[in-house]
Amino acid sequence: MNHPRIASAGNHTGNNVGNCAEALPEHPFPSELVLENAIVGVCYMIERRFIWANSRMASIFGYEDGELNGQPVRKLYLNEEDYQAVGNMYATFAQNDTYSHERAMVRKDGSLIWCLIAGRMIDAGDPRSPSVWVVQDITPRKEAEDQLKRTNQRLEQIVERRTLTLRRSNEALHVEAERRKTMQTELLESREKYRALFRHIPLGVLFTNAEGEIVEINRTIQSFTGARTKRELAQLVQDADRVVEADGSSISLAEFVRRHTPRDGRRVERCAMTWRSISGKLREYSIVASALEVHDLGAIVTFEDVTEARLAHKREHEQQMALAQASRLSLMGQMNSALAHELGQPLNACQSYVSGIRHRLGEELKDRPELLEALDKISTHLDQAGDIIHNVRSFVAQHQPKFEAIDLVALLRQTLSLLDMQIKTREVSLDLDFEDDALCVQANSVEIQQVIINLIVNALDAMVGLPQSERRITLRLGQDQRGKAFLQVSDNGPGVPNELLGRIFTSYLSTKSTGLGMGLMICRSVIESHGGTIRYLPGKPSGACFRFTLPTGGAA
Amino acid sequence: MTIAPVQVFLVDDEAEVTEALKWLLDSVKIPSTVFNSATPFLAAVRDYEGPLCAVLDLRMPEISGLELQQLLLQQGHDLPLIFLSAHGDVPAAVNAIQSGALDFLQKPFNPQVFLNSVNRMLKLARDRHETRRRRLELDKQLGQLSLRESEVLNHLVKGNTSKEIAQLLNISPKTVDVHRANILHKMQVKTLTELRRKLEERPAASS
Repeated sequence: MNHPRIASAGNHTGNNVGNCAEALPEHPFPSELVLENAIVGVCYMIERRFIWANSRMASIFGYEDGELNGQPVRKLYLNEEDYQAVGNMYATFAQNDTYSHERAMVRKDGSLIWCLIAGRMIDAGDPRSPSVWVVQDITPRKEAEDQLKRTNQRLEQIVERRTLTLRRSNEALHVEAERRKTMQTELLESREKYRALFRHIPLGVLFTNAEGEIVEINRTIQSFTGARTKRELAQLVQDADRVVEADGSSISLAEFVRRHTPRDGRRVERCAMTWRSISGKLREYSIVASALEVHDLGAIVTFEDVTEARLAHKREHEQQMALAQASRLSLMGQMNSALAHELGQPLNACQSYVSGIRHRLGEELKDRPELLEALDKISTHLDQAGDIIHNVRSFVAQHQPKFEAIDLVALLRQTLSLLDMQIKTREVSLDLDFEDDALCVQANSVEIQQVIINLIVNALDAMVGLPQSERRITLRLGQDQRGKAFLQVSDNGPGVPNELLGRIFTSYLSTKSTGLGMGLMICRSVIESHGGTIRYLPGKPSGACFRFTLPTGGAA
Repeated sequence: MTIAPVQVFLVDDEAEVTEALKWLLDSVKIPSTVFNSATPFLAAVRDYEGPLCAVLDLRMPEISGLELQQLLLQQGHDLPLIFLSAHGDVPAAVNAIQSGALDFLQKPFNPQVFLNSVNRMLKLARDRHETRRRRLELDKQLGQLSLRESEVLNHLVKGNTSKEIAQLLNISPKTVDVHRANILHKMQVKTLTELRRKLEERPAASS
């Protein structure tokens, strides 16, 4: 169907080029002229080879007019890939009649050129049929497009950067807003806390201005003044009869505060104050006034009620005095008791011997009245001495301290706290070895405490000459096989010399220059009156160890 | 049979006291032995067979007098005891007396009071020793009886006549009489009344 057109085209191309002018008058269509002068490149191709190309076509690609004719189209392609890609399209566009594409191609001088290419198969449907192609140089447009694209990209980048910056500053703004919100909450909280503290703290608090005048008073102060209203409080603060000075004179609270506001570079002032309530009762306060470096404020003055603490302290002191008194009484009783015991033995022996002499001499004495009289006198004197001892003993018995169930462990700990200062000043280390947490004994705590103090002080004294690292007291406490409670006090001192061993508990023996030699005698007397025993054991490897036992639980 | 002499054991950790007391007891011819601690004393108590009594000090380092008293009781020794104390231990004194001690003296004590107390204790020791001796003798004599003799004795004590016993044991009255004569001989009594009295004393002695 299209075949004749090829033939005619062939005709035109081959024969009628020179006849264009002649054909004018008849207004024949000067197809060759048109094609030759077309401002787009036009070519006719068979088997991807130029059969004919117009001069524009040649010039687009930098060839001489007619130079392309007979040339394969491959040389215009940038690479084999592009060439094949277009070749592959033939099958498709042969059916679809036309094909158009934009493609970068290559000039004769090797430079790049952008072309809009449109082609059509002469025989639609046959990929091998001759084809007509129109080519436009679109390099300027492409460059403009590229330029536009680059500009666009730059613009986008700028926009993106700006957006990012904006987002960041937005976030920062958000964080800042949050921070401010938190700060405000904290400020509010802090203010609330301060208010609650100022109002409810059981400590009187007031503020003064720079002149020392009271500007704010908390409720605690109001309640200790006894004021029911702000007005009453204001009056009481100025009442010159309320604060009692050491000399008995009185001033107002306002005056007191003015006097005690720290000045002359001082930061804090501490003092005591006695407040006389309207009912006349006196209460004592401990005052701390601290200068404030806040605009317009002078000082913060706190009032702590120490009335109860002072009373407790006084009571404690009285108790200690009573305890010391009881301890002295008990000591006296124990000394008497020990004395009675020590004297009773030899006296008893004397009486036995005198009586023995009487019996041995028997009838002989009747002939020796002067001896009999002397023996009678000896007996009378011994009886008198015996009576004195019995009297002392019954006096002690009447004043016998009561036995009660006490915890030996607790008593020992309490005693150690009494001796704490002594032990620390002497730089002696203590080893405690307690078998039980509690050990109940029937005893008088004052007396047993005296024994413990005596033994520990003896141990401390015994180690005076030792280097600090060797000064050590070991206290062992527990129950022995017979169920008796025992306490063992061991030291690292020189121990008791052998020649004194038999006498340490009995005679008025002392190895200390200031000692009376009664300590261990009293210890023995106390422990034995409790139904216990006290013994000396040589320390291992050196030193002294005193061990006493006490009956547990049951009656002593 | 020789009777071991009565002994006073003096127990006190104070040697001066025990020596003086021994000297006093010697002067009135009372034999005594001194102990200054508990262990040798306990051993001596176990070994001594004659009448025995003891003077104990209430407070001694090893073991107290009260503990010693309890130990003696646990070991079955019923020797009379006197306690001495150099302290005013009233509760301990009560305790000692309740556990059977004869006396409790506080040092210094009047020697005569001590001697009186010791004499009472000696009498008690002799009585107890005599009772124990008689009981042992009776037990020994009863042990010498044959089985049949024991049976006959049982019925005799209940008050049965020879005839009744002969009937009960299915033997002749003459045989019963022979047994009866042998029993009186072995028990070293002359009459049946005497035998009854001797046996009646026995339960009291064993207490």
